[in-house]
Amino acid sequence: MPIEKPAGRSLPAILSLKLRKKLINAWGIFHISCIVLVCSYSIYHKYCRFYKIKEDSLVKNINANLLFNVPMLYYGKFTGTESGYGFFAPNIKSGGIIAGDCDGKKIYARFNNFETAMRFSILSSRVTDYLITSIDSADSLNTKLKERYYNLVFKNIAVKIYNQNHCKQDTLYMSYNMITYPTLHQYRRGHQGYRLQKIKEIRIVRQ
Amino acid sequence: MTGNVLNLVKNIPGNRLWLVFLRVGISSVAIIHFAALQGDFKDLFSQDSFVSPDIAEALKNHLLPSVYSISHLTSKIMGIGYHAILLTVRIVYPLALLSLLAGFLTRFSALLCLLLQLLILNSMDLYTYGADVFTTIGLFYCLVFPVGEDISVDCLLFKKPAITTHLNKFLLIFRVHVCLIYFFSGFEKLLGYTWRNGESIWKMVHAYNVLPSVDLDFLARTPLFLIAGWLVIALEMLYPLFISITKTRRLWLWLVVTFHVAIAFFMGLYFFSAIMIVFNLAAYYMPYIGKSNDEIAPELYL
Repeated sequence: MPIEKPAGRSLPAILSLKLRKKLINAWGIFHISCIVLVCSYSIYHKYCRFYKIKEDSLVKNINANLLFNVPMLYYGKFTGTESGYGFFAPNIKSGGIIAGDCDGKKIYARFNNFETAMRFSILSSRVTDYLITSIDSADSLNTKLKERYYNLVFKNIAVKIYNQNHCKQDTLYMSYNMITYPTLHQYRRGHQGYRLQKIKEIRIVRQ
Repeated sequence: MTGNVLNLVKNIPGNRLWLVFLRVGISSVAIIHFAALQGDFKDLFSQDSFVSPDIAEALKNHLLPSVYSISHLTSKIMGIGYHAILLTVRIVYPLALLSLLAGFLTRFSALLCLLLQLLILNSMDLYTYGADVFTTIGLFYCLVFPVGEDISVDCLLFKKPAITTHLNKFLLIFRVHVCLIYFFSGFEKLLGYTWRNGESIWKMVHAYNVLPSVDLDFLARTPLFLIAGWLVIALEMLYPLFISITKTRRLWLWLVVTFHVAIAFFMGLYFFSAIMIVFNLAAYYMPYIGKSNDEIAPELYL
């Protein structure tokens, strides 16, 4: 590769140029290796989760020792290389809707712009993801803690929606509903239209 | 005036123009992205938000601070509360992005943007998505690469000669990263059977369609969804190959750009698409401006 050198460069400058070149080469190799390793593990992890396969302990240990340490986590965070890039893969997550009943009508979260509405739908997807996973997973301490945490998140959202819609009722029922569409296969067999599947409901009482 | 700017752009070699484009592209998208949140800023970040900061704090990455953790510290030491810190971030972040856009103290501005962006993301961890990760990547490269050497305030103020060494190496690193993003994205899709049988595209058309007037249900009995699923996998996984071949580069570039435009309009992922288009154009379009393929190709190899 041709390297352009300004005329009249001194010896220290040339040495510094060589050092710079070595540094950039070393960083480049390190950076690309990190991306490949993180993406490879991400794929393996998602694959095991999706097909409910137990992760190989050797792969898990290598990942934990090589990538899951403080310097690497910082590096990943600052460079945007901490996680893989398989968005919407291996499967597309189901979406959810948080809705309540107030003064005889359905109430939802309100937004002034599309971007926030989309970010809120990401929050909903995360809650859906958690709720589905918690049904499937074992009754561990971690799961229970997470369940309590997401209950708190859900209650927080419910109170906000209640206030946003200026509800006059003292008691409000807020539900979390998963939107299920017929699959392509089901649609071809005559199933049409989406349905809301209530997966969680809470009651809020104004005190 | 326009003629002067065009002349200025024409005089910059392709291997430096992509850096200017990367700086301007990333900072512009990030400014508009941040501006898009302003209408509901209170609902995302204030004490009265959907998920209040103290609850959100439990899930945040503990390696980095959040607005809440900083305010917790400052309120104890200086009596500065959450709202003051939040307001500071809300003002300083767009200013830092504007400074990066203009190329004023470019490296410092890029560092400030990156730190503030990570702080904001860590304060709204439950709401983050792909566009945020790619903004981090873009800002990181603005910090590392010499993006402020041309068409910048720094260039006018300091009048130092532009760094002309290692530029192709920077371009190579950036290109490899972009290629890996596409390859692994396609590979992950290939592993999911729903992408291989068309179900994922079908689900996407229904669950993520922001254009309800576009109804593709009448195509359910055709193999369109199956073909579309495989096309997405092929487009992404074969990206590193066909974007590197001189003869197919332009075709693949426009296919990918069209793919992102479709994602923007169908799924409403405007900012994600915009950043990916900036990455693609910076990596594979800008370096060739004013040059034939044969001229640039040898320079890309180390």
